[in-house]
Order: sequence, then structure tokens, then C-alpha cells
Amino acid sequence: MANRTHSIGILGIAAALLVGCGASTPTKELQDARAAYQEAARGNAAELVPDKLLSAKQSLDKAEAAHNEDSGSVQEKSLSYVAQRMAELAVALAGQAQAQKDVVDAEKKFDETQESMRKQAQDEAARTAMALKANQDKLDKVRKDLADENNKVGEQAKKLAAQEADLNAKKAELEARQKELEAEKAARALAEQKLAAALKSLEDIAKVARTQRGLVITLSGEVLFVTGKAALLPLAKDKLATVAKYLQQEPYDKKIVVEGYTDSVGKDDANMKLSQARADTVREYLVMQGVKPDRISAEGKGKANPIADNKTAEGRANNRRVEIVIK
Amino acid sequence: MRLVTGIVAALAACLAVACGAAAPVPQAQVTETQAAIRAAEEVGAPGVPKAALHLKMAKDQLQTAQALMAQEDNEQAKMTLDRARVDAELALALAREAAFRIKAQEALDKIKKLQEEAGNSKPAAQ
Repeated sequence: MANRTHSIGILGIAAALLVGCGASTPTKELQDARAAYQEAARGNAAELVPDKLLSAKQSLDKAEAAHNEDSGSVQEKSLSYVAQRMAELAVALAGQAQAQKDVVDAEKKFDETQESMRKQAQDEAARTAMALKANQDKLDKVRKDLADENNKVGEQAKKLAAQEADLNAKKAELEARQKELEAEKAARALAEQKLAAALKSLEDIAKVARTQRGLVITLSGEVLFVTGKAALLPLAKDKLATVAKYLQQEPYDKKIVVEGYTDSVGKDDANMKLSQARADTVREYLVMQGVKPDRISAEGKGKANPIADNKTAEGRANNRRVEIVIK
Repeated sequence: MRLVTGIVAALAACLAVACGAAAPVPQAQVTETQAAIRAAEEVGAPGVPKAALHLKMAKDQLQTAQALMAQEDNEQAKMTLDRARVDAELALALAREAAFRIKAQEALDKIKKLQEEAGNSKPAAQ
């Protein structure tokens, strides 16, 4: 008991002494604690983990109180140690909170970026699809135009081919016609040749003249007939054969008239009768020689159309004749 | 001054000795401190330099506290346990902070990579 009182008494003195020297040098631990708190208070702990910062302050206050009460004591040191750690804890927790926020922000940004990229790609794809379609449409149009052109060309080619065929046909026709014409020409030339030849032969045996009436072949009566009769002399037959040959050379559509003539001697009706008989005889013979009967006729003219003067013997002889007229 | 300091020291020691034995056994605090240390280890404090330091300090102080308790110096043991626990909590917080910082950096790197991909896949200027 006395020991206790003694201890308390000494305590009282020590306390008084302490109070007197209390506000003196803080321990290193307390200084470190104060510094740590200052740093924590300066940072983002106040904003992010205010409750932890408050706890740190409270720890520091405890340490300060211990310092005031018993400066340099083990309590002060221990509490300061704890206070320092509490301040550092607040800082660490604030750091963690910030990092967590950063993660959330970063993830948000990631999603936004991804979405933006996706949308960009989509727009790109849509643009590409549109461009592709536009090109496809262009291509289709070009193809269509080409097809139309081809059709047109095809049509024109057909037309041309038809025209060509037509031309060829006409050409062939023309050639055929030309050949026909040439054949006709050749035939005509041949005919003309024959005619000319026949005419030459005729001119050798008779008088041939072109007049208004046509071609007139004049044969003397004395050469042809027995005097005063209508019978043919043998020589006459040769001549008439030549005449017949000629007549057959002349175109069929030309009419032939055998005209008999006498001089002016004797009765008219006798002369007419004789001239007619003579014309008939000549006609008959010519038909026998091959001249088609329906193109040749015979006419007795009597003393009409004298070609010479009936007053002279020569003249009368000349008038006694047969004329074969080819009209 | 030296005299005062000497008296104060003597008094403090007396106080400690006088009151030490009377304080309760801080068994709950021991359990809590041990739990805090385990938590710090699980979060990866040994891999983060600053956290590892505080973790060691927590473990050392826990051992000291248990020794003090064996000597029935519960007062001292309690103060030591306070320090050990706060060190363990700090180690835990530092380890967590480091982990989240890494996560945040990874998230930023992811964005950068995505943006680079976008830049690379852009078609040539028309």
C-alpha cells in the first residue's frame, strides 16, 4: 500500500514535469506519422475513401494525445507507427479505388471503340455493297445495250444478206437474160447470115429491089413459063427453088404475095386470067418447096403496073413478069 | 533534462511492469491478425515488393506478440498485435492496389490494341 502511494506520488511529479516539457520533440515515429497523414490528405483519398482518411486522422490524433500525455513513450511510438500505417492504408485504398474506376472507364471505352469500329465496318460494307450494286447495274445495262446492238447488227446482217441474195438472183436473171439475148442475137445473126446468103443466091437468079411495097423479087415471064401458058419451064423450077429457100429465111410473119403481070397485048380478061394462073402456079410450086401456104397468096394483076414501055418488044417482054412481094 | 528523461523512462518501465500483468489475453486479436496475414498472402502480397515488406513486418510482430503473451506481458503484446495487424492490412491493401493497377493497364492495352487493329484494317486512301 505504501508502495502504491509512493508510485502515485512520483507519478504526480513526473506528470507535472512532463506537462512542463510535454510539447517538446516528437519521436521520429510521430513525425513520420504526421508526414504520412499530410501526404494522404493531399492526395485523392479525401475524394475516394474519405472514411479511411478519417480513420487515419483519428489514429494520428490518438498518437498526438499519447505524445502530449507522455512524450517519447512506447505508447506514442506504437500509436504513431499505427497512425503512419493507417495513412498509408488510406493512400493504398484510394489507389485501388482509382484503379477500379480506371478499369470500368477503360472497359466502357473499349466497348465504345468496338461499337464504333463495328458501325464503321458496317457503313463500309453498306457502301461497298451499294458501289457493287451500282457497278452491277452498270454492267447489266452495258450487257443489255450490247445485246441490243448485236440484235441490230444481226438484223442488218440479215437485211444485207437478203439484199445480197436478191441482187444475186437479179444478177443471175440478168445473166440468163443476157445469155438469152446473146443466143437470140446469135440466132438472129445466123438468120441474117443465112438471109444474106440466100439473098445473094437470089440476086444471082432474079432482080431484087427494096421498094415502098417491101422486098420485090422480079422474075421474067419468059424464063419461067411456056409462052402464053401458065406451065413452068424446067429452068424455072431451079430458080423458084432458090426463091423458096430465100422466102423461108424471111420471118414467118412477113406476108408474101405472088403477083402475075402481063403486057398490054390482048384482051384484058384473058390477061387477067393468065396472070392469075401464072401467079397460082408459082405459088403452088413455092408451097411445094416448103413455103408455108398461109403466108403466101397469089394475085393476077393483068397489064396493070407496067414497069416498061409496052410500045417496044423489049418493054413488053419486061412487063411480062412475076413479082414476089415480101411485105 | 537527462534526469527527467531518466525518471520518465523508469516510470514508464514501472508502469508497464505494474499494469502489464493486469491486461486481458488478446487471443481474439491474435486470431484477427493471423486472418489478416493470410488474406494478404492470398491476394499475392509476397509478389508485390512493398506489400511483401509489410507482410514480413506483420509476421515478425505477430511472433513477438505471441512471445510476449507467453511471458504474460499482455499490454505489450496488445500494442505489438495492433502494429502487426495494421501492417497486415496495409500489405493486403497494397497487394490489391497493385493487382487493380495491372488490371487497369491491361484494359488500356486492350483499347490500344483494338485501335491499332482498326488503323491496320482501314482500306488504302481512295
